[in-house]
Amino acid sequence: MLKTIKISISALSGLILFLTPLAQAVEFPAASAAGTDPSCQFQDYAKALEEATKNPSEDYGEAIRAELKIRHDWLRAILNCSNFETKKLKNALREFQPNDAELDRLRNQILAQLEDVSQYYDLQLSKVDDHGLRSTKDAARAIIDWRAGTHSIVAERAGNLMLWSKNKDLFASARARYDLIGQTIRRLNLMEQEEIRGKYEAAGKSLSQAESLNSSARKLLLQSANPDTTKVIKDSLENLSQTYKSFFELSEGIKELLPI
Amino acid sequence: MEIQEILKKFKQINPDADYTKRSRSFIVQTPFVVAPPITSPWRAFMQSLQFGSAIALVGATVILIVGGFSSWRALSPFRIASLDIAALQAEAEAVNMQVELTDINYRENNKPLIANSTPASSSAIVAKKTVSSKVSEAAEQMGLSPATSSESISIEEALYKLAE
Repeated sequence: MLKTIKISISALSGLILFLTPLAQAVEFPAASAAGTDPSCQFQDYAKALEEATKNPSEDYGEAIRAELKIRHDWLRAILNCSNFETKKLKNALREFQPNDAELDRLRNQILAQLEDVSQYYDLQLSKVDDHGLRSTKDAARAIIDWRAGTHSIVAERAGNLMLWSKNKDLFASARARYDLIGQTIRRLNLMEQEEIRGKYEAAGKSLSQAESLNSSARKLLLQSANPDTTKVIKDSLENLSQTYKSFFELSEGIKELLPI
Repeated sequence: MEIQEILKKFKQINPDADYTKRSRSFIVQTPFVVAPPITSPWRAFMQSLQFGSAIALVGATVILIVGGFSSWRALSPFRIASLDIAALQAEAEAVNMQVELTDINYRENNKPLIANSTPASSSAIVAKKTVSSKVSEAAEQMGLSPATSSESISIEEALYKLAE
C-alpha cells in the first residue's frame, strides 16, 4: 500500500517538477479585452430607419413619431459609443507611464482634454429627447464636425504620445545592435570589404536619420497639437525599418564571406 | 609480436596478492546497510521528491537534446556578433508593428469629412485595412482601435446616415 503511494507521489512530483518550467516558458494568451460595447452596434438602427422612411405608416403623425424614436435611439447609441471610445483611450493613457517629466505633464494635459470630450458627449446625450426630426439631423452634422475638429485631434495626440514613448526602446535597441555589429565586423577584419562597409554605412545613415526624426517628433508632440507629428513618427519608424533591412543584408553578406 | 601472443600474456596478468587481500577484507568488513523502512508520510514524500527530481532532470535533458539545442548555433559567431537572424527578425517585427499602430492612429483620427454623402460614399470613407491579431491586440490595449467592430458601421458612418 505504502509502496503504491510512494510510486504515485514520485510520479506526481516528477510530473510537477518537469512541467513547471514548461508551463512558465509557454505564454498563454491573455483574454482579450472587449473592444466593442453593445451601444456600438448600429446595424439594427440603420435597418429600422431605412424601413421607417421607405415604408412609413399611413398615419402621418405615427410615421413621424416612429422615425423620430429611431433617430433618438440611434443618436443616443452613437453618443454612448463615443463615450465608450473616449473611456478606452483615457484608461490606456492613465495606465501609461512615460518615464519623462515633460511627457508626463503632456499626458495629464491630454487626460484633462479627454475629460472635456466625455463631458461634451454627456451634454449632447442630455439634449437628445429635445430634438425634433430636423434638429436630430443637425445635431448629427454638428457632432461630425466636432469629432473631426476636437475629439480626433486630442485622440491622435494621445495615441502619438504612447507610440512615441514605446518607440524609445526600439531606437535604443537598434543603436546598440548597430554598435555591436560594427565591433564584430572590425574584429573579423571585414571593414575592408567594400560591400560590407557600404551596407554598414547605409545602416548607420538610416539609423541617424531615424533618430533625428524621432527627436523632431518629440518636439512636435510637446507643441500644441501639430498635424505633422504622426507623419514624422511614421517616417522615423520607416527609417528604422530600413536600418534593419541593412542589418539583414549585412548578416547575409558576412555569412557568404565566412565559412559558417 | 603477434596479437595472439600479446593476448596470451594478458591472460597471465594477476592482481597483487597483498592488494587482493586488503580489498577482500574491506568488502567483508563493510556493514550491509538496509534502507530504513518508510515510517512517516513526510519521509515518503521527501524520498518521492528526490526520485521525482531525478525524473525531471532526465526529462529536461532529453528535451534539451531532442528539442533542437545546437552547440553550433550557440557558439556561432553570428550570435556573438548580434547578427543572428532570429533576433534581428524579432526586433524588425517590433518596428513594423509600431509602423502599423501609427497607421491605425492616423487612420482612425483623420477620416475625411464628406458633406451630403450618400450611403455608398459614406461607407467608403474609412479604408478598413486588415491587420494581424497581434497588432489589433496592441491597438486595443493602447485605446487606438475604433469602438465599433470592423464588420459594423463606424461612428462616422452612423452619424452621416443620421444626418441624411
